[in-house]
Amino acid sequence: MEKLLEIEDLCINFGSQPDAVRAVRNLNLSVDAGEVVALVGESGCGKSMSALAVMKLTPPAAIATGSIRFNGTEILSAPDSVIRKIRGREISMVFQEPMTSLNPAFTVGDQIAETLRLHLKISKQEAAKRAVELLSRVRIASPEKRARAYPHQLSGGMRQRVMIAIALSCNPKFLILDEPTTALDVTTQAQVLEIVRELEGEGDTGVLLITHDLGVVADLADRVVVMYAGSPVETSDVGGIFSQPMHPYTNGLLGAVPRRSDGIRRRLNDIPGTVPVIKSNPGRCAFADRCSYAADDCAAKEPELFDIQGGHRVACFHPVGVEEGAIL
Amino acid sequence: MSSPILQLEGLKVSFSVPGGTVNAVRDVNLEVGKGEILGLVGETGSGKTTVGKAVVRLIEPTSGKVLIDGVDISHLSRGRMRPFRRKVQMVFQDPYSSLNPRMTVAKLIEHPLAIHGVANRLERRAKVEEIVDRVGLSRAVLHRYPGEMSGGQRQRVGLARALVLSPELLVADEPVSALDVSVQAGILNLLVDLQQEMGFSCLFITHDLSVAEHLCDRVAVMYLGEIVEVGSRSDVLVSGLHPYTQSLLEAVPVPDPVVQRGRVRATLPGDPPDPLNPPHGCALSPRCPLVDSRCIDEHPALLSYTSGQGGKVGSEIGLDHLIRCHRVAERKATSLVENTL
Repeated sequence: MEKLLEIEDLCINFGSQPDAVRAVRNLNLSVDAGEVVALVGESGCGKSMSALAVMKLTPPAAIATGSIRFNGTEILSAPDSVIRKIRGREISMVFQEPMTSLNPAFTVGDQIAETLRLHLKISKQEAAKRAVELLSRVRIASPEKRARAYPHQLSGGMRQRVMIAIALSCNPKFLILDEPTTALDVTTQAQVLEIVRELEGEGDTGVLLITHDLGVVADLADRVVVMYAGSPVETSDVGGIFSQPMHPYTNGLLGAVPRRSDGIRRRLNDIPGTVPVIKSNPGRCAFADRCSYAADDCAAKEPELFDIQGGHRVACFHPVGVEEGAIL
Repeated sequence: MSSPILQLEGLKVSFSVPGGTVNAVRDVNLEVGKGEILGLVGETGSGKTTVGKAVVRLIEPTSGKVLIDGVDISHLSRGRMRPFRRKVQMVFQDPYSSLNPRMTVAKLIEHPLAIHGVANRLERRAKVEEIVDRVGLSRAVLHRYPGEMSGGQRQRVGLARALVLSPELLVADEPVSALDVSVQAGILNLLVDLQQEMGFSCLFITHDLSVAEHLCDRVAVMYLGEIVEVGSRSDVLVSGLHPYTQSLLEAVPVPDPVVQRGRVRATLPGDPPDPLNPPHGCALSPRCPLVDSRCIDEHPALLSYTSGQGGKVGSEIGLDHLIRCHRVAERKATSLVENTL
């Protein structure tokens, strides 16, 4: 059966060959209805750029190739008129910055109603009424009053909930959450996570969750794709990533997180060096320079994703905890 | 505990804003012992950064005392302040905006030495090279500009600049919040190493409880301008009793799906109150799951719960476990009575 969203061999380049910067390289990913897939990685790994490509919102300088199929429509080649009907209606996105992604000149009620009116062709009164309902759905207290507020009159957490209300306004089939809680305090983050969990429980919305926070991943995701330097390096269901991380990068990331209730002051695992900028075909593992498991073969050829067990796939010649020679 | 390097006594900082006065810091009493790392945790708007800035006098306290090595610096003149500036240095959150983009790394780190007239130029250069080695940067960066470096490298420069004067107290305001986890891990490890080698004390301001638990000896939790709980790392972050501390601890997602999904999640409802119009009684009362009428009417005091002195007024600061909550006080009083019976 066709998945709700299917990304195949997505590449996003900036600039022209042969010096093009390769922001995303050969990303394959699918999200089913009702599934939460997390795209995890650090700054500059290409996760946000991939998400923008799904909305066809990549900057003009970016050249995207490959295929992104949503519900039977090929997004990358679709004309703008088709995209405009999908964007905000069938696929919607919550951006990281709740401070800058709302228009300061309109009330939040108007901004929610705008999306509703554009896509659902309903009356002004009806849209205003539904805007208030949406605000109460995302647990904003006294929604009638808040609908008349301007963004600057709301706290960061409330603004992010308004963004979620806008994203949910047309009951989208697919929701992209780009670092939805990064700018928020923990108690506010907990409120936002609760809203997302509720959404997950009640319907068949597919969710692409982009985050660098492994705690958020552990909370929400069904499947995880770890990206490094533009390409996926490990993918598995959420349990596999945390209980048996196989790529040295994933392993390193998990060791870098300070954990609560340790009691003792454990030394954190830092990953020395920086993420390389990939131009042309690297012909070697992009992580090799920072990897403590690297051997000669890592510099000779770039590893491809390889299924090690039951859908747990790793792009590494020397996966952690797997016996040498197990991979051919 | 030996005499503390930093003492805050009744620190208050108020700002005039359109519509009234915001009391960003309301009556904070706190000590940082010699060689100690004290974590100041809280959410946006809790006043933790304002406390940090008041300690280095980037903000003038409205009232109260800031004692460095026993001397109140809150009213010293520029000239008399100078020796204290050398003792207390700060590292800022944003490694991008806190370094002058037109100065090379060598200049940036040498600048505080030149200002304080430390040694001659040759000796200063030697000191700069030594500290650059210590913070784990290669000497090749000395001739670079901040714009040519990554966030993690810049934060190391920020640390080097603060530590080159061998300060007695380092005020670190969210120094790792803008960094990726793998880079953050390196900076935290470095901070632990440097603190052990150089022996400075540290006021570490953070919103991240996991970082605080990893790094700090003692922790103070702030909410709406006041300290609601303070004590040793395990007192506060393992067995914290204040309802706000507990909700913070419950809200931090654990990076383990089995644990995280099995947790009872009690989300603190609502948003922090309007600082222009704070609640009359306990600051947490509009959101607190344990609230009763006393919490709404009466402002709770910070009481000591160190074993054997349950509910004493928290005048003696130091190693005590102090909590500002009526309900904790009642619960403790009941259990005390039960124990004596």
